[in-house]
Amino acid sequence: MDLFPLFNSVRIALISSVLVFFAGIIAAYYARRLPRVAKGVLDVVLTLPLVLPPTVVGYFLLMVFGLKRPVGMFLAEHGIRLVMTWPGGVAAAFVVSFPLMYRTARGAFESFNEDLAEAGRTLGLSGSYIFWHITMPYCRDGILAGTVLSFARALGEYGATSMLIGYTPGRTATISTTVYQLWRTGNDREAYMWVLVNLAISATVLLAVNFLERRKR
Amino acid sequence: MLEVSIRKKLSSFTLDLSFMTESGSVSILGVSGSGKSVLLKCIAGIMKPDSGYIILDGKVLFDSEKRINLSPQERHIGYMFQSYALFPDMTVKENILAGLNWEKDRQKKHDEAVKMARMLRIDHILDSRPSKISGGEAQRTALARMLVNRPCLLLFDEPFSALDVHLRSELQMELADLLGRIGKEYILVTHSKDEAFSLSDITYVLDKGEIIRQGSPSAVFSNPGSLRAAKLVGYHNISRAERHSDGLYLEKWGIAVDADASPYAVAVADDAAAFSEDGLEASVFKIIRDVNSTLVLLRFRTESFFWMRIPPETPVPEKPRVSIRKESILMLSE
Repeated sequence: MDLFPLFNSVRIALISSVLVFFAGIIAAYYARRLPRVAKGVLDVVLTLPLVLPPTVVGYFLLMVFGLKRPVGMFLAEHGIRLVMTWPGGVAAAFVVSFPLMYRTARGAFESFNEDLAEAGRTLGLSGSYIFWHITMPYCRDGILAGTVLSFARALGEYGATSMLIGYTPGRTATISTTVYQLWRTGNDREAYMWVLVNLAISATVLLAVNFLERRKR
Repeated sequence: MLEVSIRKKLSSFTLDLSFMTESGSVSILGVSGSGKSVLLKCIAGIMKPDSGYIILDGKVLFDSEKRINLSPQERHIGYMFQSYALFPDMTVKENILAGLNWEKDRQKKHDEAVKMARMLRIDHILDSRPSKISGGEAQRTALARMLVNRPCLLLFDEPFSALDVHLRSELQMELADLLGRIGKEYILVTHSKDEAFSLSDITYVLDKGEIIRQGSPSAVFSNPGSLRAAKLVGYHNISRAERHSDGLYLEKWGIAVDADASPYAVAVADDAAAFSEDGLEASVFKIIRDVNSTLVLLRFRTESFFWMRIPPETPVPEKPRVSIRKESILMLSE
């Protein structure tokens, strides 16, 4: 069995999770303090990829990163191609899993007891110290849960990925696109293998989420 | 010395007050929602007044005209939150060390933290998390964290409200003793008469964002001056008054008493009345016998109660006659 899809899926999911981790936290942290209307609009925009069909997201991504589009052309000039390459998979996974991180992290920040930050300020602690040593540990469980969920979502991403990077064995194939390809070509036995691999990873991830949530209570 | 003159619009009223403290210990008395926490937060720099100024020991902390608004970090003011706001992911010791961020030398930091913990008798819980310690210990930890920070002024926001009632009076005495020894200027916000008495030299009565009475606690309690202040400092017997030909008529109980002035209202202390043959006829609604005193709820000519506190074991006649000492009827303005 060729293990490339496993490697590629994990690579894409890991990289996109790291990016989503920081982007989601930054967006959630600042969105919390926005005026209500601005927050509402931003919320809709940042959460849309969660409810849109992934193929629609994929379509948007092609509109932006397509090789004949301004952004796509600009990136290509600098040696970055997102269409039909595995980094494109990272972009697709990032957009689709971002809302999960953003919403979970925002929930965690909103439950944060502001008295703690204020107490820190009266003690002369700097803003960044308060963020890293008081706010983040307080919100740790929510943020971890958000990270795990986004990782799981990135790993299972199919629609946007297949539109943006297609299926090229050994280059862009991920577990989910491989399952589809194998089933379509009648290779049920191997498709079944990949289904089991995917089930195992997803079950582990969900167990981890449950564990984290229980510890929070 | 603290000089405050600020205005800040809140949702239901405007905080608008000026005061200057000369003495070391001040209490601000008010019901919840009277703006007392907002006042403390403005002094600490956590909230920003709309206009005015705040000057501490000659240093301008806030001045809307000069566009000065120092951050809480620059103000060096200790603030003890109602819920203590201990950092939950740090041990007691780490909480205290957070207050020692100005000291760079690790050994000195450690020594200072341990010294303060010993003084406040929390050295046995240094490695515990805040969730595992008692309310009194949490209060002392918050105090330790605040004191090692060496602030110029201490602010306390209802420091006993998070504690069980039976612990409060003892811890009040402890805190009064400790603050007396430290000798730092402080402001305490409270709705408890006992706390104001045991912990301050000057008390300000705050109602809907304004100071309606100020003075030593005993002066404020023995003569609240206005109907609003009398209610806030805890008088039970308060009535609107009207001058009639036979004396001062007290609407609430339907009785007339002998008084020279014609005030808007009066207040009578619980212990100001006595049974006497030539007193007013009353009926007894309920007798509550406590260890230190007996409370008798009386009615005169209306349905409203008159609170009468008498020494324990005093017999209560079935059809009592009650007289109120003339000098203990407090005249109140609106």
